[in-house]
Amino acid sequence: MITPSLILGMSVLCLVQRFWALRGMMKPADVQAMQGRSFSLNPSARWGQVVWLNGIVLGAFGAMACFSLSWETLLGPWLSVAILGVGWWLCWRYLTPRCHARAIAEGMVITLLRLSSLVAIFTTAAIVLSLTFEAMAFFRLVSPWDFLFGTHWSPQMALRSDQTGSSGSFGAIPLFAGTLMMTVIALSLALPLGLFSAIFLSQYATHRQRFWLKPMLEILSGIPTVVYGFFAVAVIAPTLRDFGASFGLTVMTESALVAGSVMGVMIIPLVSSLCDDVLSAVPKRLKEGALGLGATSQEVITGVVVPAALPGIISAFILAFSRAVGETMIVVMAAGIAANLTANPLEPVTTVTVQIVKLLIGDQEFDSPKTLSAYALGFVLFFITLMMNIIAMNRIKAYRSRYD
Amino acid sequence: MIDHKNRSFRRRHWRDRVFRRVAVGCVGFALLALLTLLSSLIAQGWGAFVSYSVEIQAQDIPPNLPSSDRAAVVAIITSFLQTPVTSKQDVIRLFGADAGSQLVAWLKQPQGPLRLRLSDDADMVLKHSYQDSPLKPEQRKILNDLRDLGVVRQHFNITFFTSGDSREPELVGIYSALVGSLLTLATAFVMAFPIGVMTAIYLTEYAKPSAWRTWVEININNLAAVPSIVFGLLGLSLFIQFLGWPRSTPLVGGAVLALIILPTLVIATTAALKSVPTSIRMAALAMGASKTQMVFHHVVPYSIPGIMTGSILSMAHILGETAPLLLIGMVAFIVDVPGGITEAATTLPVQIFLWSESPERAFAEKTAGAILVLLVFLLIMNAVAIVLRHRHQKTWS
Repeated sequence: MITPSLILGMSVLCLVQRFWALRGMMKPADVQAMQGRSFSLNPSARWGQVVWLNGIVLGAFGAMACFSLSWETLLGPWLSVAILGVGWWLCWRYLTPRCHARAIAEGMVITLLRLSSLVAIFTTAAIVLSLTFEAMAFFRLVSPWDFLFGTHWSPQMALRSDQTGSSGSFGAIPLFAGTLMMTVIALSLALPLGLFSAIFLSQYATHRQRFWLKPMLEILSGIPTVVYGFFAVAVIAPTLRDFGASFGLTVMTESALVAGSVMGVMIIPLVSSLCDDVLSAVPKRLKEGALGLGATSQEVITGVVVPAALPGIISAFILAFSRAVGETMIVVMAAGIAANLTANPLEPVTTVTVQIVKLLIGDQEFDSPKTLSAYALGFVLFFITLMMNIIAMNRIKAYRSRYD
Repeated sequence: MIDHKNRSFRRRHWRDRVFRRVAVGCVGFALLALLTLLSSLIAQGWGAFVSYSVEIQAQDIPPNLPSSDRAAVVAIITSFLQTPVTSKQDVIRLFGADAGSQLVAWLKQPQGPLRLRLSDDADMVLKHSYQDSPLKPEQRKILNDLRDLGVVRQHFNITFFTSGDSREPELVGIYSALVGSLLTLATAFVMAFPIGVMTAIYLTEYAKPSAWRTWVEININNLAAVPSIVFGLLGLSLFIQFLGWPRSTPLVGGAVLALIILPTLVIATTAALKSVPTSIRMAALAMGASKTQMVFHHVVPYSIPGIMTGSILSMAHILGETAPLLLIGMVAFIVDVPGGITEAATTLPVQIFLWSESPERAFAEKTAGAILVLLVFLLIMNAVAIVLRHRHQKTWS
């Protein structure tokens, strides 16, 4: 393509010419003379070269225009002429000895940085907008009341729109109940284990132990959730089933207990690293005061350190909760699909995230309630985690301002 | 009095010891879980890296072979066994789906022995000697005869690293998924890294404490905790439905993953920039540097190790990300290596998910094998990050 390279070459030539001209003008006499606007006086004869150069370019383009007949081929050269002209004018207008290049550069950098910081806000806005729009479209088809308080979930029927009874039913209570049960199982494992791990790491462990244990826990938290899901299906589910069978219990392969407990193991490192941070941040003087009064280290921890760090610990727990609610792969692989309203952890239940994945895997039509219901579920999920995050962030801030 | 005191003293210290043991036990439980996870994965997945073939020397191959390649395979094996075989189907099903083409390729270029891949069922029987295998007793007998004749060889399963997905477990490989992962990660990095670093620079160096800055920071902290599946929903409706980008491609996957790591990247870069002491900034300004020169010539170079560590860790994080990719259709059955970021592709974790859904036992082995490869990659990335952190960590005094 000849046009872009021409533009580039000519612009560079133009700039070089202008700087050359400027260098010539930078004689004291010229600067003195340049009190007015730069184009009102033209002391340098080198300006003539710039004009000449551009004249040659224009002539070349004109010749090209004469040779080419169709409009499309004409558009390119004339567009480049226009761009060249604008660039030339900008050079001519602003590249003067009085041009404050540094300020302009600073301003451009700041604008660029500010624009990139907009992306974060755009992302949030896009999430809120897309979820809201699709959820609104869904609620035009299904009433919000039925969605939030209905107890029957079977979106599969909505696939066959030509048949009778095609509306499907979108009562999300079984999903919410399943999510809650899964979360409770996971957290009842992760919160105590994580907290006690953090207590060990921050209060008892020697420097050497910390050096080895911290990366181990980091590995545990770095393992992808799909791996945990496979672990749950391939290892934990058969083990629990055999274990339950030895007690005469029938543990289903896709039971809530399997997915929940593996999820709990996954969340332990999150809880322990967050709690470790807040426990380590408790001022030493509090601990030493208690120890000086004769308390055992257990009494120091339960009576002084943990209460002092409580806001931070609670916010860690809240973050763990929102992590458990939003966890997807483990439940997709290890939990059930059928919506099942039950309180028995040995039976399969399904969760909000499982349903989102199952509804949207494969081809989607954006006008069926089946697809849109996934957005309604996503909206609920986002809203819950948003609330939790805001509460947790405020608590952490309160905690920080207490001891900073 | 003293007795009572002693009892209370003993009780308190007993409680102390119990408490300490509980804490140790909890850490132990976490480590035990890690150990169980890794050991069970290795136990299940080692078999994916080795496979069995039948190797027949050139002089043992009968001269007049049937024209059909599968019949030729059967003829070679039956003549080699020198015992009558009741069913030809039994023989051919012992071999992999590409045994015929392996034979054809060898006949074109007869170098070394003829190597015929065994089927996944035969492979699993040889590896684990299952009793409840789908192999028939006659097939087991043929297999045992072949093994007794010393032609069944175990070798490194190169196919697992050079081919794509397949319906046949003995032919599957992770290569196309690996390439897909690489393309997706590269796209995500190219999109997220500049924006993330620039946002962090703006927040730490330029923005004055204002409502705008607080608002951006709240947004970033909140985005860091949004479940990844919500980003998948966003990608589906924004990139695919609204902007009309091609489904199932590394372009969309990379864009979604870029949005996921953006907050992590910003937080890591902010921490790295903040660790550069104020004296450096002051010195640069005092030498007449402009603010931009101060930031880009002094502060950013000093914080590059921290930025690199943060970006490697966030890359490791999205290397294992699966759920959002399921929603944007990267669950396709991909045999060929994707040639660019606008072609349908899948990634390693999604491949793992797809294989884990398959009922065959051989696929469970391949799943665990692919997981081991994924974990090795993650381990390498984490190790590089840790080494970077330790080597370039500057302690400012």
